[in-house]
Amino acid sequence: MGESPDDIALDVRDLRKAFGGVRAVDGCSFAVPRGKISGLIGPNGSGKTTTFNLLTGVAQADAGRVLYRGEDIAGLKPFQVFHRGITRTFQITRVFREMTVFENMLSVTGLNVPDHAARARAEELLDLVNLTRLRGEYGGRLSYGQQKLLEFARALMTDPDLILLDEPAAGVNRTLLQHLLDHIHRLQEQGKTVLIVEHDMNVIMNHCERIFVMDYGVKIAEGPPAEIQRDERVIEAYFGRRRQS
Amino acid sequence: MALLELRDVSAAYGAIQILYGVSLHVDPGEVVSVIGPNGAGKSTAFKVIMGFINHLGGEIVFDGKSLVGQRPNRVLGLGLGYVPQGRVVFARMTVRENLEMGAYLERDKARIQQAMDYVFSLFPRLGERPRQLAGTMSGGEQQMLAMGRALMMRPRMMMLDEPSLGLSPRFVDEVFDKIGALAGTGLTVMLVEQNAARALEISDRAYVLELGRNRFEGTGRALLANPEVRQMYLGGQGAAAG
Amino acid sequence: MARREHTRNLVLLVVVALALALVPHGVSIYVRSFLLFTMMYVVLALSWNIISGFTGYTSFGHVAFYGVGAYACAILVADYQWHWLASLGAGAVVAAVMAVAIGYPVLRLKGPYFAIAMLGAAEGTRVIATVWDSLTHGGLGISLPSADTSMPAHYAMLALMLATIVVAYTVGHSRFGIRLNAIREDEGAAEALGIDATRYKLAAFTLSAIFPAVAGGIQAYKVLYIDPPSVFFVQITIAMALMSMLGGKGTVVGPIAGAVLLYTAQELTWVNFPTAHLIAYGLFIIIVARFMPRGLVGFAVDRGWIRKGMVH
Repeated sequence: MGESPDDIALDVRDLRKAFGGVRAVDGCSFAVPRGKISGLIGPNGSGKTTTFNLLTGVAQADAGRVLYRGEDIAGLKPFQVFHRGITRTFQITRVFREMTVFENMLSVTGLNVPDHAARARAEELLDLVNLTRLRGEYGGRLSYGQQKLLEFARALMTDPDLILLDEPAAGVNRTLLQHLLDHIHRLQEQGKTVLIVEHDMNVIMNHCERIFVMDYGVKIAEGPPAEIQRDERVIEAYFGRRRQS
Repeated sequence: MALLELRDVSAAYGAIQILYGVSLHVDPGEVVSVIGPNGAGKSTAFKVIMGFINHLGGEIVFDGKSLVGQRPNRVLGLGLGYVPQGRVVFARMTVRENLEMGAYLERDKARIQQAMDYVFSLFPRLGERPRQLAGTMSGGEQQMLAMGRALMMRPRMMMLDEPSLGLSPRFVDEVFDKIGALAGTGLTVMLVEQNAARALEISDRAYVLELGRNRFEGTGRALLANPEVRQMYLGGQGAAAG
Repeated sequence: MARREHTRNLVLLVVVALALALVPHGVSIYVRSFLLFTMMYVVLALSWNIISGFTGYTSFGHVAFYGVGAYACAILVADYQWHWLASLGAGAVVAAVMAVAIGYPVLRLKGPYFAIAMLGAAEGTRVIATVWDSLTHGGLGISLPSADTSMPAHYAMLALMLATIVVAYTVGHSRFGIRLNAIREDEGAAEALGIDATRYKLAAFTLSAIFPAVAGGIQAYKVLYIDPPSVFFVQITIAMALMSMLGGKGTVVGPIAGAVLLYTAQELTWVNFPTAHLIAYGLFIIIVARFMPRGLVGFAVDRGWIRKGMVH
């Protein structure tokens, strides 16, 4: 199967995925360090979104492995990935609109605790994100920012060890973003691993310890923010390259 | 006098505001680029000019006429050509049919044919296979087709939204060559691009947007040489902390 | 808090059950028949609601299960001399098996495609019933041995209705029901929360098939004669859907209220406007669709008379 060192939470090895003739992910490898906040970035068309979908089971890889706790989870369906202890949020919020906030929280599976314990956990998380007073309101009636918080809280119901965040800063105002980032740091302090896919460079550079940069379906650079910001290949990936004639 | 001018324009997608008082202008015969990192609002600028999204404030003037509140088909009729992001061609129609769709507002068959001849002269490869289905063409060829289609109404100014997006390097060269050639015919070109280096290379002037606001402005050459512009893309030292 | 409500609802149910148990002795055959049909439509609407209201997979072919149940009863009683109650059980089993067999491929389809596929499944079942005449007597239909079945059928339907209400209520107020709702709201997001949508959908679909099958069996027993057109009657599918939607899709009270109101309205218009009753019926439906698109319960929730959500 293949072993990864203990300090690696998610070991991505040579992932490949093509759509028609286009090789969206073309041999992508990186190792997400345990207990830290990492970022996965890349310009449009770099394959980072496809990679994210491959990690969460939304798409099936053509080749490659994703090792989590010694098991290759590439090829598992989303609900199976969830049951391995990995949760995710969505770029555009996908709360359950015609269900109450509280019901949104209780829809999560895999808790294996009696009903009252699940409810207690839901209440606790809602309190954490300040949505307690809205527990009886329909998810669809919440403001966008509140929906983001609800989705975030919902993803924490099972106390997962690895949390994948899909553009958490998208469409979110500065204040709310700060709250979200505070929560994310708190998760990391609790020993959890977080991987953020983001376009917002400020979020990535100021909050991630390790950054993986993709372009043309592969990882072109990895390292701490300071190094990445100075990396010529990364700058070129984002800014573009002058004509080579 | 500027051919296109935006003065302090704000715009939103529904409730989400994207542009916060952006100003720019394009003089006749110029190639002007709008660049900036993701989320800067570049494509949004085009969309508010075309009338696809909510205009919240400011003036948009083309050829002396206000575009505020105008519907997209009227804007096209006023002499603006628009090539949207993603090479939107009608996959099941032929090259010729796609071009005819571009001339939808034109009734005179002779003028349509003239326009088509003009497009074929600019893009010989399209002229070689007028009956090919657009869906079977390569990315680069589809981009040419999309540009040709926008030219069918003989616009005074062309707006190209990320023409190099998703194209392999070889086609990127070709597309930027074509844009240069178009500019050479006297056409005014406004370009929104993610590939900042290439866009600045062929631009007379450019605007750099960040988070929906003007950040830098200058000639293509000057901005290419300005390290701050580059660094901005990666949230560099000058950028505000989250 | 919720426990008090559950108790109250249970008491209500018991009262209604007692009333319906005592009533049939003192009324005319017509009224008894009216009650039987009303109870049957409550069963059908609640069942339809489990797959279409809770889970969001709108079925236009549930009459297939009703018909299968009717045929199971008729065949087993007439040709194999089974006791009719046993045949109801058999009908339930056949419907469950059929639901799994059909559901597995068809539940992969979304929205309108699923609805149309179910329509096709219902038609297919009708055609099979017509053509497989060695089993079903085809177009001749099946006659059951003569008996006074009116009272037993009433009590059987009452028992079925109570069972259906209890099951629908339990589903609606449970974590299982919440997950069905989640699938309806956003199947992809539900999967991301660990919900194995395939299994949950199949479970809901099978559950929704059993009760109509038993209802069909009871009807066959009561009417003593069935043939394909009389049981595979597309009006039944339409009625199930309309009643559930009128009352409030996705709730428990909704389909019950919708069934009672719509069937009563239908009977009244038929009695008073025999020629125009279909038009009056249709008008009624249009008015409801226009002014109360989320049904009666939705209307009440919007006005604040009822709390949002089912699990609190």
